[in-house]
Amino acid sequence: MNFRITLFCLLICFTSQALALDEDGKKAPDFSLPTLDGETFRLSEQLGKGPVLLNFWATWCGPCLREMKKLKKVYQRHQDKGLQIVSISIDDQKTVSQVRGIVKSRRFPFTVLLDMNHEAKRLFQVANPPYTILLDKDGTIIYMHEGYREGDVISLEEKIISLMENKSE
Amino acid sequence: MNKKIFTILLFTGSLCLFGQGQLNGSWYLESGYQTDKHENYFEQGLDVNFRNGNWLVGAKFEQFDPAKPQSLMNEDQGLWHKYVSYKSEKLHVRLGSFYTTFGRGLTLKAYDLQTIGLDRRIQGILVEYDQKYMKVKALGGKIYGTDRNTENPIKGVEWTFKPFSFFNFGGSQVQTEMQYSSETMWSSVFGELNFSFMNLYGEHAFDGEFSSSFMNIFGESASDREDAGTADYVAVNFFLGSISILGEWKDYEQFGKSDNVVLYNDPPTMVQEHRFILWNRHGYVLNAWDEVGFSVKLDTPVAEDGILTMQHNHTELHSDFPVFEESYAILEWEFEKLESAVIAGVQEDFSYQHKNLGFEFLFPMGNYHIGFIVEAQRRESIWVDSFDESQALTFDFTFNPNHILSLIAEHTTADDSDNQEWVGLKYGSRWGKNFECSVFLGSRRKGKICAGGVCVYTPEFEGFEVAGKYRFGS
Repeated sequence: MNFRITLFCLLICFTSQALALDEDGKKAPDFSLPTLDGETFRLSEQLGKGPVLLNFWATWCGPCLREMKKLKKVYQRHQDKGLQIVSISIDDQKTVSQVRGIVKSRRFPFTVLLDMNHEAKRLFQVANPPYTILLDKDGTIIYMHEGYREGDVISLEEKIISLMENKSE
Repeated sequence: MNKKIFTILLFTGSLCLFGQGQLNGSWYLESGYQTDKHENYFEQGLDVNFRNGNWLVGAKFEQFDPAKPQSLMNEDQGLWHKYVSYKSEKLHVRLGSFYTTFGRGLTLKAYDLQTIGLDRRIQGILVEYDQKYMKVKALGGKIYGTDRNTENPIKGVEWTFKPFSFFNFGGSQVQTEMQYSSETMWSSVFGELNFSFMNLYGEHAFDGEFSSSFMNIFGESASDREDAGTADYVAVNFFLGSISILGEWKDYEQFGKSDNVVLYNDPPTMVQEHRFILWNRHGYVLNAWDEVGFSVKLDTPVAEDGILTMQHNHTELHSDFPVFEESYAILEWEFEKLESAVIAGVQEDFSYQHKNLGFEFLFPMGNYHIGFIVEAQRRESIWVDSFDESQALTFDFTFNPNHILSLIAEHTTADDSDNQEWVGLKYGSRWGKNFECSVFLGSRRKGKICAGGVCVYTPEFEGFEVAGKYRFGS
């Protein structure tokens, strides 16, 4: 029984993947969330300037903070070339009070959004943070990874550089 | 063929053939076999959604045959999530299953945590209207219990006024019918101030109608019941340059809103979740029926590449009986390519005091990365003169970085289980951006595991586990 259900699930996955392989099928969904300053951020309004990196994290997630420390350096190296890093906190109402303190003390320079109701998290089907998604300037998803492993940000930076080189061409 | 799977197949196929939008989804499978007990678990889920402009249609099939030992589910399968939603710049309407929170969760929190098998969904209609100076959220339908099948009717509304970007205030009201309780309605008022040097949030929740609270302010009784509950939560954050000081205070009395397995609210606990195995095993479980407490936390940079975090939190009953207290400090430091962290702290509940010490090191070696976490814990009984000690070691070897091999070993002198040593080996791999899998072989000690501030008890495990996830669409 389990085997048959699993087989059907896989069939749906592969069929859907095959059907979704056109260019329109790779666009990131638009969303809007509040920033730490109380303003509203809308993804579609940020596109067109350069690559956008969406990074889902939480204050209680150790690997997230390690990845963000690395992303901070990547941002400092490429922000003047149009790179935007949008850091989306999925802290819910229990831990959201800690977000501002962590962002300030760690001097994260990028835009930080609050996704307390996990709207964007569900839209991108994020199971566990950290979850990182790289978009090109048009909002097409180029790369994503779940979890953080040492070396992830190195390959991510290579992809960002490649996107920027394509943009300049 | 399983009817539910067939429905998803029909649903996705039809949308792809006749629609012009975008199809996304994911499938996961987690299975394990306990060699000592000859028991297994098997879980899988298929989540599919189709987006076209402002419209989103989705469904999720889940199967537990049976669920993981720590899961709140047992053995069941179903298409529990089906929804259609429309979202424009100001309006969001969703029909079907959804999750949402009012304020900081004092009156309502419907959410899910796949890691621990928790699903508190609402089935019905959600309408949100958000404009510059005001936001309204209204819902109606049924709220489901942790068994995913028990249901209670629910109606609720939350409204927020935003007269200035630095100030907002509002209220919420929830109405239900319970089988095992006479509770029918509770409400809250909240407000938030946000400046560059300070953030202040406060919420007061109470049994009864929202309008009755205003009568109460002017001297009339909001409720005649002697057991009418209240819940208060305040968080204030001060920033001095890069230094952050956070203070939180809670006072919950008769405010654990539940009816058998149907849970409505989930206020903040203020107890920190830790990333270290031994330290995180003794988290505090919220008791919104009777607790009062506070927390003070400091986050500060140290020199160019260091971070110091210190926190003290304390929770007690209204009778002054202490139930949980914790003090700790974490120093994170980066030197050349070596990343390190030192932790030290004390946790105390009504039975034991746990003294914790831990070190974490991460460093690259060519194309590889090595990570070590070493932890030690001494547990002393509060009531009798006895103690035991535990040690844990986690070793990570990352290469490529799509492959990671981890060794997790633990030893204890405690005699509360058959074993005193546990060793597990885990290998994780990513294949492209769509597929990832992991295999675990060995044993794991019993204890709590926590995710997103919620903890569940997990029994001892010896055997092997496999997990896989496949994403499709974008």
